Amino acid sequence: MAEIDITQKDENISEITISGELDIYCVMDTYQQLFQQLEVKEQTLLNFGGISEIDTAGVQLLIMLLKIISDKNGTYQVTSLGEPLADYSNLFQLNRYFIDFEAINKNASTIEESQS
Amino acid sequence: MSLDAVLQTFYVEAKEHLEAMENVLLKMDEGESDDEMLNEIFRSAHTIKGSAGIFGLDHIVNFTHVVENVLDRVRANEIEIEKKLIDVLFKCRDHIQNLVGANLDEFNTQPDLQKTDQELLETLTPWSNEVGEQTEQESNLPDNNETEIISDSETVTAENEIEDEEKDNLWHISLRLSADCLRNGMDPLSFIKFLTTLGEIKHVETLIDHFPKPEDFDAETLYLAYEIALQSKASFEEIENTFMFVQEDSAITILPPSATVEDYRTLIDKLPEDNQKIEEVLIKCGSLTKPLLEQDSVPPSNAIANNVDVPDNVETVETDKNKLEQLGIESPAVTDVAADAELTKAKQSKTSEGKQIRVDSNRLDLLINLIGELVINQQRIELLSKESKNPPLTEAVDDFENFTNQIRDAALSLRMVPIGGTFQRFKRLVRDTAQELNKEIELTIDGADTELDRLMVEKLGDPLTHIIRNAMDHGLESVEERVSLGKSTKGQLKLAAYHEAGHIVISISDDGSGIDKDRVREKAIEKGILNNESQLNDNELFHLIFHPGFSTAASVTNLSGRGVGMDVVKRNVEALQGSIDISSQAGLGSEFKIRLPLTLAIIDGFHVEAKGTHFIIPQATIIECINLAHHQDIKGRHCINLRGEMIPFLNISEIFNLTTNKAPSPEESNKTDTLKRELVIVQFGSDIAGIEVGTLNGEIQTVVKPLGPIFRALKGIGGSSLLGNGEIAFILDVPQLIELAIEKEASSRVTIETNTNNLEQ
Repeated sequence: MAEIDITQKDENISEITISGELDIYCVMDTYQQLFQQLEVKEQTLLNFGGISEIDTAGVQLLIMLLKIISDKNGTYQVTSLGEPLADYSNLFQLNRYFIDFEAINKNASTIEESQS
Repeated sequence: MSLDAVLQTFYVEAKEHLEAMENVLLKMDEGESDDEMLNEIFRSAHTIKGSAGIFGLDHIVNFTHVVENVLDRVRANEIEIEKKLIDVLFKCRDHIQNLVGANLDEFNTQPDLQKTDQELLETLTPWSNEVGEQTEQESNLPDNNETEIISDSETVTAENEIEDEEKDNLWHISLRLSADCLRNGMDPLSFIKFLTTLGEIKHVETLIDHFPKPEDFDAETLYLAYEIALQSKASFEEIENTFMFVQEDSAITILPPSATVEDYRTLIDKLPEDNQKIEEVLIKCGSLTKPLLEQDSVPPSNAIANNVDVPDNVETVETDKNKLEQLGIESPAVTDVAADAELTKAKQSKTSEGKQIRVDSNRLDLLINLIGELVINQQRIELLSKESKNPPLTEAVDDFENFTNQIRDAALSLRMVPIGGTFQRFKRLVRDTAQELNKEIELTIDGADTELDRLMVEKLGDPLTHIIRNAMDHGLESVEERVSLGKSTKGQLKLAAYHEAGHIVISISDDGSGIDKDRVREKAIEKGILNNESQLNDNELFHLIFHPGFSTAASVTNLSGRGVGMDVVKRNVEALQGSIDISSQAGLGSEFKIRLPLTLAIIDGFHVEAKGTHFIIPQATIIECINLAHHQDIKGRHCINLRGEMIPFLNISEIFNLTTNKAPSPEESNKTDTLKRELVIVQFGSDIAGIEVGTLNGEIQTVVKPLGPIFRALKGIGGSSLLGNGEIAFILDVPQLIELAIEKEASSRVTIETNTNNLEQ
């Protein structure tokens, strides 16, 4: 079962720490908990180093989290990835989001611009 | 579909594949070998590996991968199938069975399993690819004393060749899996991991374009899509099989290395994402290059030219024909012939697949139970219709009975399975045991198609195993002994099954030394089962071996000799309402015959009455019925003279101490006792006896309800049934009653002889 901890670092900076097992068995509850508590600040620090186990459902949840932050015009920075997430990210070419912090909604906005 | 249900399917199918592997190995052990057999065993290993990969059962995948590799080399004629390899493959097959029985966590905590795993992998190295390749590489290395100068151009050429080879083996896989994938326990991570066992994942692009708004996000729904570049020498089928559990509701496209640009254009058009985006993804994957995308000189693929609908799920892309057409070469005729043959084979396999369906055995049992109730109710209706004396109603009820019988027979046939499956298992047992005992033994199977109730098939496994082990251990002689006796070096063991008089007979015979009657007698006296004066015939003597703790074995082996097997055999057989006979001749061999009823569920019976108590005699055992009023009793003897043959009989009322439980009607009390003496002559095997009853009520279908454990010791009764009028009827155990009748007649004969002798003196 994943544990979520949201702390206020500064007036404009919050830190979200997710630890434990983040998998299909708990993503539903974890997301609801996260969604209810989340207050997007100008910058969000993301600490995923404590995630001991993760699967595709867990990674999806994290991606959704990054999207929520981006949608609310916040920026994020992953301060710690942890081995399970790092392995997954390497395999599935997600480093650009978790490590390089490429804007997660960039592609969607580029397409919208080109279509308009 | 829940993960547990799918996992159970995996276990069931793995078991079937392991059985198939064993059967093929047994045939190979006997010297048979052809391409089809090699393909079959390879496919079995490959499917187990593939399915295990889906569930993350890496311990099975890792081991089976090496076995599959060896089998692949065998079918490619790179290595020969030799006795030594077959022995190892048998062990590998057994080990895979053990691995299937343990999950990954259990494997990691069982050192014995890991040790066996390691040892077998090492044993396989002489035949597996890794060593082969290593050896090849080593042989290609220059000797230490020589120096080879490789020119730059040669290096570049070699590098180009490697690059070309890589491109030749580059597959592109587009995955748009079902949204319920994660919910159903299928994680794309498992598939990607499994693909790494088929080759090298060059690139995976994860598409995140389909996420909904945060408030609509369902954490258990899959929103991700994947484009994968896989470098692999695997076949299309092997790659396709990776996704066999998720093909439904998914859009999976596999483009082979020979796919043309047009094929990629088709894929790009088909995918829901923006074309430009997908093009960039394909370039990132390395499946396409920008120049290739920009060129437009390649003719369209057949699919587009013929306006064929490209299906949403897995598709194959025929590109070789295109390429050949481009070069102006006609497709070779043999390809069409080969294709036709494959199509016929596929149709045949599809047809045979369509004829079978897997059914939960609990559902089958429920159906049989309900049909049993239907039969009982049909009899009730029949009784009531007879009483009503309404001809149209009686006729309709007769028709109803006819259909009920047909439904009954059809339903019962669902329970019937050929005994061949059970017999087949013994081939392996005989092979391994013969090796262990250092004897040569040949097993012959006859009547494998003979069908019997599936419950019996399940319960017969142990008794047959005991008898076969005993035959091999104590009956069949060693090679040297057989040669000295003038017998063939190979001991003959035969398993046969056939129908006889409404029963199924299973015979286990051998051409060994036979049962030593003197030794049996000696042992029986030693154990206090017999006294010195006891006179027993051969059959009675042989039956002593079923006595608990009885064994004439000079030494206890790990196979037999402890005296705990044969008594259990007899009990198990009797629990199935069967009997067991033994015949044996010293020096020539022995035969064990197990007789069983065809089914335990619903039987055709004959309804009789004795002093108001209802009985049913299995119709298959009845020879004839006679009225004892027309026959003279032989004084003091329990037998009658029937056409010159002395038939022992017993009175059912006396055997069960029956008393009349209701006052007789005036008509009944006016009848003389002699008119109420009916004799039903029954037969079981070669034994015939009579059962004296009061009234014969005719044929009846009987739903057999087993008696509870408290009645287990009750002799002569094999079950109960409910009659149409609601009364209970007892189903007679004919073999036991025949035995009793014979015993009673024998003892009364002895008594008469003794009295006669006394009188004479």
